[in-house]
Amino acid sequence: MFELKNAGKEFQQRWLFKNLNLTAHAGDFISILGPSGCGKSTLLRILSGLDTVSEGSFSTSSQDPSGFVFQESCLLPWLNVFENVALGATQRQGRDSHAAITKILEVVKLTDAAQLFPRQLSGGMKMRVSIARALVNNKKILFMDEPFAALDDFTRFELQDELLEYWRQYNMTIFFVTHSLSESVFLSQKLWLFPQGQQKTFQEWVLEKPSTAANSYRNSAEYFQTVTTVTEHLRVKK
Amino acid sequence: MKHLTPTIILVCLVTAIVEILYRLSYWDAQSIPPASVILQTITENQDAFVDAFTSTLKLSMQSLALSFILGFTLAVIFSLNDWIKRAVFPLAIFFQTVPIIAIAPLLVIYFGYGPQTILAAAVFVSLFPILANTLVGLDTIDKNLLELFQVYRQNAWHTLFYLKIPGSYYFIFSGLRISSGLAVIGVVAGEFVAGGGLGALIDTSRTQQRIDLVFASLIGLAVIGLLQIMLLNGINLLITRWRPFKL
Ligand SMILES: Nc1ncnc2c1ncn2[C@@H]1O[C@H](COP(=O)(O)OP(=O)(O)OP(=O)(O)O)[C@@H](O)[C@H]1O
Ligand SMILES: [Mg+2]
Repeated sequence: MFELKNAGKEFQQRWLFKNLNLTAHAGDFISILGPSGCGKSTLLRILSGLDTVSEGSFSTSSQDPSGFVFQESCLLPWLNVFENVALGATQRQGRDSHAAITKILEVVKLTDAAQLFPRQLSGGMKMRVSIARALVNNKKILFMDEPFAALDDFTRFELQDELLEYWRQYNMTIFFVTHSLSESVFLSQKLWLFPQGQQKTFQEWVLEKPSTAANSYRNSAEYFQTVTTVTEHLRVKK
Repeated sequence: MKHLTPTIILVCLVTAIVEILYRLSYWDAQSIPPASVILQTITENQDAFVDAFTSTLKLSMQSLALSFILGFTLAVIFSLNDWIKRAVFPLAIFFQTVPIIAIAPLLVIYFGYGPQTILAAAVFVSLFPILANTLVGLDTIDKNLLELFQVYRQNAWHTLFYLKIPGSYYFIFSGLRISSGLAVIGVVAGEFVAGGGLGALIDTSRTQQRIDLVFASLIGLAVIGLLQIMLLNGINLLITRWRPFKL
């Protein structure tokens, strides 16, 4: 469980948010949305324990190893793709770890690039290494900061499907920062919306979703309807 | 090596002009001997010259290696404790400003006449740039990467060996480059007071007014400096081909 109580965060007396009350439970898939610079990354860092609140409190009961996909891919230049992914492996050595890394590289389609160094990769490839590093060994908790922003639609759809598959299969808790409303509606069960459009307050939005397979939902009328509803809500003055 | 072509051409040109002026008797070979005279001096004193050259080269390389091992190890140890690190760093800067010529006589008293003193003098000047640079490198690791190691629960040793040390590579190497030049200076300063090598050859040639020998020794020293830098560049090339240390 993750809980923010009357939480506020400031940098040099500039408040990003105040009086935030949010709860996330194990197994939640939560998208965090908002305009650039509003504090999405900061909120994610607080949730992961990398940063602290300026007022109020944050608490978590989780002790499980977590994965973090940073907004910049954050790779070590002197390690190749395989070794960079190995950094996220929870078992350090051995055949199991090797097999797990090989498998996750396949998922992100980097098998052929395993021996390349970060300087030899494109931006999207670097991001996929970072995603593989976070996913390897099926961690219980994932923090993802715009992980798919640098990818083409086709790769993005595939990785979204994979992510949902992992989430279902391993009962993960996922916090997912994104700029894309449609992506957040497709992936998550809950939206955390920073003030944007005509909405001047932080809002939580629970999505009603069928538990059908990923691909059919992407093309369903409900999906488009939900995206429209949320968009309208943010645009229209109440 | 291509980028050195203009320099090489310039040096050859100046040498050739001096040589021509000398042949036309427009040059005072007593003040600055031309290349042919220096070359002749070297062949005439070949044995003594080669001995001095190898002795200076050996001590300079030894002191550089010693400074690297010592400076790097000490920096890693000091970096483990924030208090020690902050106490030591200004000293590492300060000792770089102490003129070795002024310290050398003291070293003779401590270590006597011999290679120990020369080594001590050279290590004294070449140690601190490596120490200071390594300390800075270990201390200026990208904050994002440190957080990455925090997220993936890497312990202090892992963070040191897999992040901090490789992340300081360029700092360490530039320290090594600075020290490579200083090691030669240190050896010569040591040889002035303790004897032996090109340093002593310069000193005795000076008293005998043998300017040609002084120049020959100077060229020997320049060659030593050049050899060391070339060696370092070669090592750097091998290492960075094996692993790139920046994006
Ligand atoms: N360490 C810091 N010190 C000072 N200010 C900071 C720091 N980190 C973030 N900020 C400020 O906090 C605000 C929110 O930053 P944050 O990175 O959380 O935004 P974001 O919502 O993730 O934006 P984007 O969508 O562009 O990634 C920014 O205005 C930024 O200038
Ligand atoms: Mg951000």
